[in-house]
Amino acid sequence: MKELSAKDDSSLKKTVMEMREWRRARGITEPESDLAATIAWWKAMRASPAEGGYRILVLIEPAAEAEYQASFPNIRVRGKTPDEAKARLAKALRHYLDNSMAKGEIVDTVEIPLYALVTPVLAQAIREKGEEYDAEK
Amino acid sequence: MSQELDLSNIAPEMERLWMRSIRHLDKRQVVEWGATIVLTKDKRLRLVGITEGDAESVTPKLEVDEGEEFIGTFHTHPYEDGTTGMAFSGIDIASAINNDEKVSVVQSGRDIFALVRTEGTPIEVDPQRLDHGLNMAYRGYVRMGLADQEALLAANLDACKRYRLAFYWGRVPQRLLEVYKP
Repeated sequence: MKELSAKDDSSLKKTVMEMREWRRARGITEPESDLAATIAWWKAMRASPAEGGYRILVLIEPAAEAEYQASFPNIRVRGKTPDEAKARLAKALRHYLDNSMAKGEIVDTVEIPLYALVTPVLAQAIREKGEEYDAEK
Repeated sequence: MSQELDLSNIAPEMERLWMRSIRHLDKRQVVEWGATIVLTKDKRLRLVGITEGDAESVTPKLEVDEGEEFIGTFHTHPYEDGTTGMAFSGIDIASAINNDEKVSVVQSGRDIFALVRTEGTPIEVDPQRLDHGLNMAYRGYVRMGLADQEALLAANLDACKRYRLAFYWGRVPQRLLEVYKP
């Protein structure tokens, strides 16, 4: 019988071994650990929109038969650096929104934290691809 | 609450205990080591009551000498296969809460994790329930594709959110940075 103050990790270690077996049975290779990325992901996943973070814009437009369509703007840009690509995307998005608003095509927009859409599997894939990752491919 | 946790006074002793934990790693044998963190009269943190456990547990002493203030506990998390970067187990977190630890620290390789009690932390929790919940969360995160260390860290953060504990993380020899504060 272990004392109340015991730092007893036996059930955790058993669970870790079980889940390693779970991976092995499915032929899944354990991913590389990246604690800093996990912290960023967890914070974004748990954050409410009011707590800030990266956001992605969703357009809500009239569609056929009195329905509405929610979509991400279909805009792709390229830049020599991530910052340049981001700046060009913001500019292109503003241009697109101005034009669409002027034509009366957009009725509403909502913002969703970007990380809320990124699963750990996708995050890992992005990390593995690093700067070579190209969303168009 | 500070955004950094300065454990520099006890870091060398923590590192020594970590090295002791893995000195027979080549034979796939590890031992957890633990100690009590106290604040001395001259307001310095010290590790006292150094205790050897077994491969899966250790029981640090909770009593301190007169003139010393009980702050919390430290222990190591070695794995027989050399895995490092493993944060707290559910029982670790429950015992930190129930034993009124202001700070509870784990070292696993170069990674150091710390729980810090806040005003909102409950006085007592059900250890088995907390442990079961943490292991369930861990399983869920592994199924989502996270590595062992990542899944345990995310499950730790979920527990901190639920039980209103602050969480710090750092790598030897850097200071620990605040990761989550309720």
